[in-house]
Amino acid sequence: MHRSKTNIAVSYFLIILFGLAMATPFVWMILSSFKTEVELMQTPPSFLPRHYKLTNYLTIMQSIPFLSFYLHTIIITVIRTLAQLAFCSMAAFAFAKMHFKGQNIVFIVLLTVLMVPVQMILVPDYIIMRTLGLVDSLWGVALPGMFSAFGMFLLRQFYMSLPNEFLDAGRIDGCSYFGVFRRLYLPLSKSALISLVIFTVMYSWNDFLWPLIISSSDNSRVLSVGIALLQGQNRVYYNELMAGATMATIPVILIFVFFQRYFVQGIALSGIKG
Amino acid sequence: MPAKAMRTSFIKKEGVQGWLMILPNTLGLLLFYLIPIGWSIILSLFKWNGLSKMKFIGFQNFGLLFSDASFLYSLRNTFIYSIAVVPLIILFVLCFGVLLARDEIKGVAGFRTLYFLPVMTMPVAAALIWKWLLNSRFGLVNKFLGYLSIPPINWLTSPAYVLPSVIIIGIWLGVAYDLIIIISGMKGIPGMYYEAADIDGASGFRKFFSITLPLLTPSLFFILITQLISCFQVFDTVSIILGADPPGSLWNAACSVVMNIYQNGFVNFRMGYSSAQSFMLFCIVLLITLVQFKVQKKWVNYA
Repeated sequence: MHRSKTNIAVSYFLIILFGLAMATPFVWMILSSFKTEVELMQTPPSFLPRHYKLTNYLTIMQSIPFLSFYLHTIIITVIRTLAQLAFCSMAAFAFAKMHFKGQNIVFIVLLTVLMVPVQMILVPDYIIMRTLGLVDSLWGVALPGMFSAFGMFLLRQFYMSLPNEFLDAGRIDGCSYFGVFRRLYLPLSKSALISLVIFTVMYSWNDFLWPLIISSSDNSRVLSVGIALLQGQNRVYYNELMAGATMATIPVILIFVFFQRYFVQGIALSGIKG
Repeated sequence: MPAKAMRTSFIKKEGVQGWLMILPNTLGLLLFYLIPIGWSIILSLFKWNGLSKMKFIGFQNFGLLFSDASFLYSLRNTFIYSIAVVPLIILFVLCFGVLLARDEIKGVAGFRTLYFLPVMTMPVAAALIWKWLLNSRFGLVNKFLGYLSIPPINWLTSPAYVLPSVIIIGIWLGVAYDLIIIISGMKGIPGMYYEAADIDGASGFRKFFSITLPLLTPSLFFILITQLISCFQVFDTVSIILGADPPGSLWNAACSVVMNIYQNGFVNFRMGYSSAQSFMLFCIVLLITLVQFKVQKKWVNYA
């Protein structure tokens, strides 16, 4: 395909222009996290900080239990991700490759969860957690997110696309269905599982409304809630807030860098299957 | 048959194994999602502060909805938000997609990363970043507008501009995610269509409207549905933008339905009323989704 040189030049110009516009808030967050209060309040605002010192990062870690928020978020994300991986893949395999009474009706009933906005379950789930004595605990925050209709559906679609022959072969060799699933199908579904991991980590890491409701003290607060509560306090300055936001974003950036291919594939996949 | 062998043969049955494998996820979804959904609908018929005895009041909560000014404001704001955010996201995503889906541009993969940065940002953090960018005195946005000789705007403190501020953040967060879907959709269009169009001497615009756009409609439909649903549930950004202020004129101008649900359920402890609101939201979202699925037959091309 031939394109004129001006066409290419205009494309480059627009790509960079729009790209900078899209990237500016993110870059601004990082730059602001190094600025002093004086630089922050400067009119007109300066773009680059004068020094790159970690003062704001240290201040924010001392002024609130930032590290424990961090730890809580990591623990909850790991629990939810492992649980979803195990539970969703098992259920997805059973729905895709096995035949048993009642499976269709159960599958359809479970899928209705996908259509219902999460706000509907807030009050009842809160009451359940209160009854179980899990309000303001890490399990209370993590529990509902350990199960997923979306993840089950995503993986079920993937298992449907795999051939049945492995199942027959494994069964003839005397494997149980679970054995066939674990030894043959699970290793084959690596790419779909990674997509699920990325979705779950992102959802769990950014989750805000449920933790806001269920956490009532620093014992169980996660990063999103911790950062949100900070802005209400007068003694916390914006540059420190941005240091917190930057730290909260680092793990997601790392995942993006290491799994970029799967990351993009996973999101694209959800669009195609949808 | 000895007991052990009997148990083994029982376990080996497909039905038993199948049920065991779906058990954990099914129980979890049942306990934390399905039963709560039904419970929430029942709760909407009661007056309850979460502790006292529940009092059955029939459809009074629903009647109250239509005379509750703060709910009606939140409904209006959520509609305006969704009607602004969804089309603008689609417009931006199409423009960016046309630029970024072309592999003949060197380094395009690197540039794409710039556009994906918002996906990596926590919505709460994004709202905080924008709060400073939009700050009327120290913010970058008003500085930029100053270059264009536009006088500074009180983005976050004037009722006229606080909802547009939330809309800007919503677009910034949403574009990046949907761009990934659109780029993969554009790359999935077979090159031969464009080659044929080139032979016929079609212009770039003609190719976009006659090839790219029609073949992208399934992806656009997915973006439309998922964005509409998530727009109607907007909470994180609104709550940060309004967070520090007490309810007042700014709230009326930007409060969303979910924000209202949260406020009623977990700040004022009107749990029955809050459940009625969330049931109402569910009905609206369901209705809009069903209409979209009906209308799609008129404009979505499935290959």
